[in-house]
Amino acid sequence: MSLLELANVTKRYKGTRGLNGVSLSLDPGKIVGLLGPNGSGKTTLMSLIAGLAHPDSGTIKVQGVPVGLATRSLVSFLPDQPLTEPWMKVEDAVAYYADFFADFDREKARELLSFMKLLPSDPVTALSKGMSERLQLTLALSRRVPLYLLDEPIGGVDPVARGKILDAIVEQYSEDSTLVVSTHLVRDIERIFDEVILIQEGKIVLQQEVEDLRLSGVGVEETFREVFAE
Amino acid sequence: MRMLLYYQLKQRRNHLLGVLGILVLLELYLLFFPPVRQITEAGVIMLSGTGYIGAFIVFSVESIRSFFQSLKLPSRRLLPLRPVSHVLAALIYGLLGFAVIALLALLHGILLKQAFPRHLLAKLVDPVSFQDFLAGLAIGTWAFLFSVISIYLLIAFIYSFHFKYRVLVAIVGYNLLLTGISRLEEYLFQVEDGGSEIFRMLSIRWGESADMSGVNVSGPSSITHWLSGALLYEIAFGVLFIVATLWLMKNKVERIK
Repeated sequence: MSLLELANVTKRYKGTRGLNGVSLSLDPGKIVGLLGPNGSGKTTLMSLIAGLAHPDSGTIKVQGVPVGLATRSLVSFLPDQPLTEPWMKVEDAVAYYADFFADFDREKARELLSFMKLLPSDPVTALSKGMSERLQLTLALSRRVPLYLLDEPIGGVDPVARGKILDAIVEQYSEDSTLVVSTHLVRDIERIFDEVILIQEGKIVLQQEVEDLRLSGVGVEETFREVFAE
Repeated sequence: MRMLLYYQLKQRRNHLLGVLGILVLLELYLLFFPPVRQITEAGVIMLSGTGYIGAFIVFSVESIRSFFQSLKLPSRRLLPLRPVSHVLAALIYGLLGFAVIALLALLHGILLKQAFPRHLLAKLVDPVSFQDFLAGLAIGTWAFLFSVISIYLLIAFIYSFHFKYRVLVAIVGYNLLLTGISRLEEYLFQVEDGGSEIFRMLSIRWGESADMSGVNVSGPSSITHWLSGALLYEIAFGVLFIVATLWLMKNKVERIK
């Protein structure tokens, strides 16, 4: 059974199509790159899988379970908006997720905070953008779930922070789970992918193992440029 | 639900305590130093009532704000909680504040009756028995619940659809809906003036007269009045609003792009 299965999923926003008849299947144990330019449908796709939005048509299942309340314990989502609230300190944010999610691993969170050089007493509003991204990632990766969805985890942060965030992803990745990372910054992140999905104007235009791409003599970035060349 | 309620209180505790602190200070000031030389006696009573009404409004807004956050923030929407947990947490959060205000009002009334029988505010509470207080509390609670539940539905509608003028449509639709419910109630139950039965049952009139007899608080006198058709009609609509809100939360509410 696939970990994630989408069948003919369509989602429209104000007359435009966020997603157009997307069908997709993902197996467990992979780091998958969801690549596409801005506005291609990456965030819409992730929001639908996380249950933050509802498809106009089609079905989405995680481990065979239709997306809904039951899949909240199967999916950890890092959206493009903060997972924290302005009143929180770093330690409050960790306690909040530990209190609500039985799968939240406090020890893992503690290790990640240390790795990310985040202080528990820091108010979240005082964190720089890069530090805030690190905290959001800490919260998302500290859960033990089969499917992680990271929406642009390195968008808008400096190259040093990017390296740190990618190291954390690789470090904390568990091989029995699948991690989907959306980005348009292909060069910085392609080294961690096992598989890539290219999305354009709400349609999946390519889904392929990175190893197969390399064997055919082209890298992920070249494929990205080729597919999305204007 | 309990955990969400705990975090709502934790998030806003300073704000809520601040509001209650200001209310207590205002009432203590009016109790010990009524500014009768600066303003009229009715003005002092008005000021005291405004303190309670202001705190009531703040807690109502807090309850609505809490529900709004449950629909807006990913930190709330991604929680493994049923829609009804979000609704109940926001409602109970508001009701707790309402209960604290009611408790303060009760203590205030007892203090006035027992220790300050000649205080000008004592004239206001003198005709109010404990039964009147309980009836007023019950009616006020329903008034609070009906108001915030209808606004929850309004917010859920706004977060469920994406067309351009959805906020305007929702506000106009909300007013039409409440007016329609009120008119139908008048027609079905032959009530005389407009507005909700529950609000009508709690009639507070502020008047300015030398002996303060213009100030009048009245509540329902018997349980049969409570179970009148008009009240059941309003409760039915309250339940309908909650069901509609829960349905929207489960099937339609999503992030607005």
